[in-house]
Amino acid sequence: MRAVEPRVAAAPDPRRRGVLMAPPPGRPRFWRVSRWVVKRWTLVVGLTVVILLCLMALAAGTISPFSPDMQNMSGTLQPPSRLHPFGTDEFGRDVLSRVFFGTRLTLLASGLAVLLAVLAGAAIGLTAGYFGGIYDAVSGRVTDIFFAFPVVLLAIAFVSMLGPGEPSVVVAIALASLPNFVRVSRSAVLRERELEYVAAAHAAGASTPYIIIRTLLPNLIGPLMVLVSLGFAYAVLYEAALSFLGLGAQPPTPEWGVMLSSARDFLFQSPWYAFFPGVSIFVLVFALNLVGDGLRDLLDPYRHNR
Amino acid sequence: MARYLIWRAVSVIPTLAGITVLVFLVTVFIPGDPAQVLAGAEAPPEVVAGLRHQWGLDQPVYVRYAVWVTNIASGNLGESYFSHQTVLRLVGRAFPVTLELAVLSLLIAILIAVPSGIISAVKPSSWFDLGATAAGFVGLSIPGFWLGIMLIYLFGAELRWLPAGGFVPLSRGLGANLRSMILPAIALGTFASTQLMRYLRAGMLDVLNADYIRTARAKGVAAAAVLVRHAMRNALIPFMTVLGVQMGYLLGGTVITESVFALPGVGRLVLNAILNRDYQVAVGIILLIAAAFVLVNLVVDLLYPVLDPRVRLGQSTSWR
Repeated sequence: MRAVEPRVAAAPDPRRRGVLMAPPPGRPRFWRVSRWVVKRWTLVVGLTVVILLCLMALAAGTISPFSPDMQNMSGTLQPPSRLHPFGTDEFGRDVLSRVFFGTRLTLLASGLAVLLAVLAGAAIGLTAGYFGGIYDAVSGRVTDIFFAFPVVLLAIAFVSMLGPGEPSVVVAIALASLPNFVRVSRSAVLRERELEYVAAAHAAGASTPYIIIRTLLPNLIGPLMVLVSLGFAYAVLYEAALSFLGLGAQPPTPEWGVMLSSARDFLFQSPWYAFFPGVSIFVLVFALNLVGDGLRDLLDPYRHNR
Repeated sequence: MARYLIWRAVSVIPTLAGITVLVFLVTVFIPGDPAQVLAGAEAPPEVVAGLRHQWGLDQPVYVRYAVWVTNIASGNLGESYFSHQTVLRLVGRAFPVTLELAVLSLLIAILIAVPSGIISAVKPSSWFDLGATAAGFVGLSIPGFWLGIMLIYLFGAELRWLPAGGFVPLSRGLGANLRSMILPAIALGTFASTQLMRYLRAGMLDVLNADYIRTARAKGVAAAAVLVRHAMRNALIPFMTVLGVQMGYLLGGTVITESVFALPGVGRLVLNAILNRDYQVAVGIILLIAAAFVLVNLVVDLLYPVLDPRVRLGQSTSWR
């Protein structure tokens, strides 16, 4: 969709290597680092939040004030209080503790989906771009087919085979995100394949797997990292949405989408019950989008202001 | 030109065929034997075997696929296990709701995206641009179903301006119908609007930096005329493609929105079908929506030459 690309000569591109760790030189270290942080604030803020949420998931057992499953039928649907900062649900369970534990399943399921998509997508895209021909055409068509299914429908298809649950959701999200990873890695290979260093590796007698893995794959790391963080955001949104619909995690699992689905029934009595799990999803997705955008700026300075 | 149109139209065939194969495989791998299910768990094996034979379930998979595809081609998508209504009938009744929701959402998305995208591109890095980009980020990250729930609470319970859910058909008046659709359309359209805004802003920025715009300005064409007649015309062409893709996503996204707002559309139909294990209906609708998605994109691509004379004349389109 982008119009006029700046035509860069086929020279080794200094942007490609070491950018992540390169603050501008020539000033005291503290100022260099802080200038870098200010300039890349989206990346820094996003990464910080994501790391905090990961820590929250790991430490859910110790930081939760209550057990996520502990019921208290005399204190159901309470508003936020000092004892229960996020209030309680319809069984008197502490919503804050359930939100903490919900981080685990969401991060795990969406992370797994993205991991599957990037591994399979990079493998298909790399080989399709490198070998071309019929294999390329067929793999392109097949991934196009998955592109034609909205992710909710893919999930429904898998639920009909595997039954409702996180496995169906993970597979559906992975397949729905696959085409993006295939396209990006394929087009990167098509661009790089013609450059001299690949020809040089070939002339030096490198085997095909060596060329693909050691010379082509490193060029993909940047674009794939951007895509992974954006795909992760998308996966979190859909993991929660599918669980909300009853296709993924099932009650009484502490999961954000499942919590929202129960909270909907008590919306008019206790709106805060629906508020907090949704905010958690939003914060995680927002942070992941910030990371993706920050990475994109970092890897492609020309894109500035677009 | 004609070759492009024909090639593009033909290229849909393998995709559609692949979709039918995939959906058919889903029906094959659905656990449980449909003959056993219909005959009942207590039925003697001969009866089940008879049913299997009657429906051709004892045939090899490729024969069953051929029969299945022929049925679909003749419009027979099967019927519900429970209500015994045909899938086409069920979808026919639910589709207008979904279409209305998708179209309204797209309208809302366009109403938000086009002005803000263009102003952002005309004044990049201005306060408006920064604000719009930030708002776009927020819109991109809000889960649509949660936004829907919060809108229901705010407008349905707190302010009591709009109904909290349920569908009012068009036959009961346009006003009442729109009142029941406006919140779902906002909940669904927000995400699409952020996508459209990003594309339009990027497209406009590219076009506004092009040489012919500078020429037009140098000739003394009024700023507004440059924007509308020179820049927007070009920027809106790729935007059309994105619009088509978004329309497809909106059709899929209706599953979630219809469930939140209790709208009797196709999305809720397919969701209830799968949760009730009414597989025939679920599979039939999946097939229909996937095919619709492919066809919407085909139509957009076929419209391209109508909108863009450069494509029509077969000139280079590398600028895209």
